[in-house]
Amino acid sequence: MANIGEPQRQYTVVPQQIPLPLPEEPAPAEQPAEPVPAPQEQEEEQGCPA
Amino acid sequence: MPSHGRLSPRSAEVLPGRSFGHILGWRLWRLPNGTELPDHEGRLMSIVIHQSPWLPGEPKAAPFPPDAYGSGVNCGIYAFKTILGALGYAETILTDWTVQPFVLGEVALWGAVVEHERGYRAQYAYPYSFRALIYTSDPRSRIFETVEVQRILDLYNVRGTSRPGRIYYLPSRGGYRHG
Repeated sequence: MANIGEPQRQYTVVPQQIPLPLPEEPAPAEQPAEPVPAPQEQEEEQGCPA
Repeated sequence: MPSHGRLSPRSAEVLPGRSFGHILGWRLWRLPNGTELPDHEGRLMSIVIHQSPWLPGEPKAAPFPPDAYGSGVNCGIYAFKTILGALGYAETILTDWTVQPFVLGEVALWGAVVEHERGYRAQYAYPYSFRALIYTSDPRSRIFETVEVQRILDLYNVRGTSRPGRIYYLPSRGGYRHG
């Protein structure tokens, strides 16, 4: 496992335009894409496999 | 806005703990040969998770979203903040006799992200650029000719640089050398 040091903070990055090559449509002017659920909402629901 | 992450030019933070765009980090992929992983020949693969392919045109999703202190404490797609971080990591896993060529490049990260001192763990990722092919002194690491490697990388149609240079990791001769 890569050693990237201690965690400092967490946040959610909502892509305005997902950085994939397939969709070439322009990003919506001001509205972000479907929001990604915040990690806090999921941490008790799913664990990390060993 | 994350102070260390490179966000896209349109990025702007409008709520605490939430950013828009994507973060760019640095990471390594490996290119297995057909003998080792026939089902994944011609695909970029994760380094640590042995049979975890990165498919062209599809975001790589972590099995579980990362979090800083809870049950997802080790989960996520890993990336370093700097190219030196990624190269330093390569030194810990490459040896003179490593057979597979490694690919060094930038990766776009989004979704739930945990920022660490030297890197990130993210929920989603996709290659953003390919900067270097890392070979070792083992001639078997050149099992892919450059043209073949480029054909594979072109499948990913990345937004950034897609024509990597060559570097060699030769620990017995002092480390990295340009090809």
